Amino acid sequence: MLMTIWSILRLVIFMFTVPMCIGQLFKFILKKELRTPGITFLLGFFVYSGIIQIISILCIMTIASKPHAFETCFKWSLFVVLLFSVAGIFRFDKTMFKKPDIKGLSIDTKIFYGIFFALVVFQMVMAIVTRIFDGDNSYYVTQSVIAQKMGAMYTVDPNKGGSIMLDGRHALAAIPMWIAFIAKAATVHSTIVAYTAWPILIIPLAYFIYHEIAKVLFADNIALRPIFMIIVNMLMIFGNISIYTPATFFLMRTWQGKSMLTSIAFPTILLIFLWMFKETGGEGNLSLRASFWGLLAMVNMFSGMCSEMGVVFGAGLVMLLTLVLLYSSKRVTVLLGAFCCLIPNIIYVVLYKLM
Amino acid sequence: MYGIFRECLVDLQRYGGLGNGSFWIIFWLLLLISSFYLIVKESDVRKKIIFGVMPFVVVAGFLFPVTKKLYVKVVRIENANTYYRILWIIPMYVTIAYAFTKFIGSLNNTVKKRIAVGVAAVVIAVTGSCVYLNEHVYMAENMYHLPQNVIDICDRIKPTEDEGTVRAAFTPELVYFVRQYAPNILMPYGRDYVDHNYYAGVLKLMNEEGEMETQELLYYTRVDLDRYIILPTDKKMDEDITLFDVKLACTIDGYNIYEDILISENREKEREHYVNARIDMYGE
Repeated sequence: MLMTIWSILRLVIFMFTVPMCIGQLFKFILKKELRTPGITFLLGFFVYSGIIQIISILCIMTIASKPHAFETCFKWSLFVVLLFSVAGIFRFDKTMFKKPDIKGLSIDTKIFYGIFFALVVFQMVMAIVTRIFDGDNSYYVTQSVIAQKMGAMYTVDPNKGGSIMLDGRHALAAIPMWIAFIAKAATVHSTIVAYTAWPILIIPLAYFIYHEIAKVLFADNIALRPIFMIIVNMLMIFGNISIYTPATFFLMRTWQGKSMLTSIAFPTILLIFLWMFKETGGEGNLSLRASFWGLLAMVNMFSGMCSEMGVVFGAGLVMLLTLVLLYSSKRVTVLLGAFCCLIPNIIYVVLYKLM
Repeated sequence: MYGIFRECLVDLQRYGGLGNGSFWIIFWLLLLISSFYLIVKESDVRKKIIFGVMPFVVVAGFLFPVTKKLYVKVVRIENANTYYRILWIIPMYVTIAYAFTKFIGSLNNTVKKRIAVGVAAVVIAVTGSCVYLNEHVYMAENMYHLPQNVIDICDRIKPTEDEGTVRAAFTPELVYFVRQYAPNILMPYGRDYVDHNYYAGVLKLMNEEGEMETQELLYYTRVDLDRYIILPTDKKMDEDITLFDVKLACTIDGYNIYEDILISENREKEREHYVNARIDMYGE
């Protein structure tokens, strides 16, 4: 019993506390108004994913064929993650945790917010109480289990077992290694982390991003934000019109990289551009603009971590939105920003060619 | 070129639900009406472009045959079936929700707004398909979110950490889950064989309806050094498997777990003899 509580506690630490602390360390890159607990957490989430991604890829490229490669990857990841987290604790800003002022909201708005929160909780509960069959889990989840239990990184056949050549195409999309890292850190089976714990992090995080989008779209009309969120929730819950939609991936394959690409990475790219559009009035300084592009670079890294396709599609989305930004800001320098934020995508393409 | 355009159109239709019992056009209409509404009503030109024009541009680009040709060239032919993922870059849900909400916001009466939210929710529910009613959604039986019978069987046969690995032949419906729970159980075929119809002797026998040929099954499992064979209790075999140095270890949740004594007791010569005696009959 005590061991179970200790494992749950470590799960909470490595899934929620660590991203928050890392976000606290790096929040200086955010504009002051954006230094909220949610956005700080989101920033920490992307930096956290970047740490695991860089160390995983380095290990995959150098020691993947060695026995217990994941052990080395885990130790280095744990060291860096804890280092950043502890540093973040020293820079922790408690003042950002303010009780939301709901007194000014109308009864209707409160009810709509209540419905929105209830829908999100409903999806989280359903993620825990339902088991969803998808053949691809046999690949992705098993890779996490193999890394955690056997120490191998993409060098064991997840389907039958036995050694295989390094599977480079899948290896660079290192989400399963992140799940294995959390599982090993908490001493919980990777399968439990992937299916039961991961959605508890990803579902509210995805809706938080959509709510931030709502805050930009309805900047001066708070009453419409919960209505927007209810509709997004309904589109997700009733979005299983085919196996191809982002909603299907979001709620039926929450733990797979492709799902996080559509539910976390792409909405965040859109959100950052919406923030940048707000700043095109002229008062935004260079460091502020650089911070947005820096954040975008981290999201692009995350896209690569999610899926091989994420590298291309993420870049495509950034380029499309950059054209709109170029049109509205009339600043050619946005092209430079776009190029810099796409450097992770370029590195990924090179790595895929090398593997 | 027209043929490729038709392929792209089918991809678009499938994305909307063609072949899934849904009217594929409804989802796309919902998106395109939303985009059109935002082109007309949105005053901020940037949002007008992103939510109004971009969906049309991406869909048009998606249907353009050259796009597909380029895509296949980049991702290779074996991944051509992922072409639909281009559509993911359309911010679909934001666009639809933004248009709906903007429309609701334009209503000047609180009651009308409440009714409009309800109607919007009903429209989405009726035209959509609930994730949780999907045929692949089941109630979880444990924290692993794996079928309990797989866990029970694996717990019975999985080796301790000191013992290393063990090989076992499962029936096709179980292979998806075994290694998600116990990666130290190795199998003669996995999920890839089942989904992509790859050939494996054991799988061929498992898939056959009617009586299974016992000696042929044992030939394949002994070639593969499978210590355990897991079969449904109602699976019929032409000969009693326990006559061939195999014992019924136990029965769990409707599955018989057979243990091959030649392998568990490391009787290598007898195993080799069994295999060699039948290699002409069953050997590939």
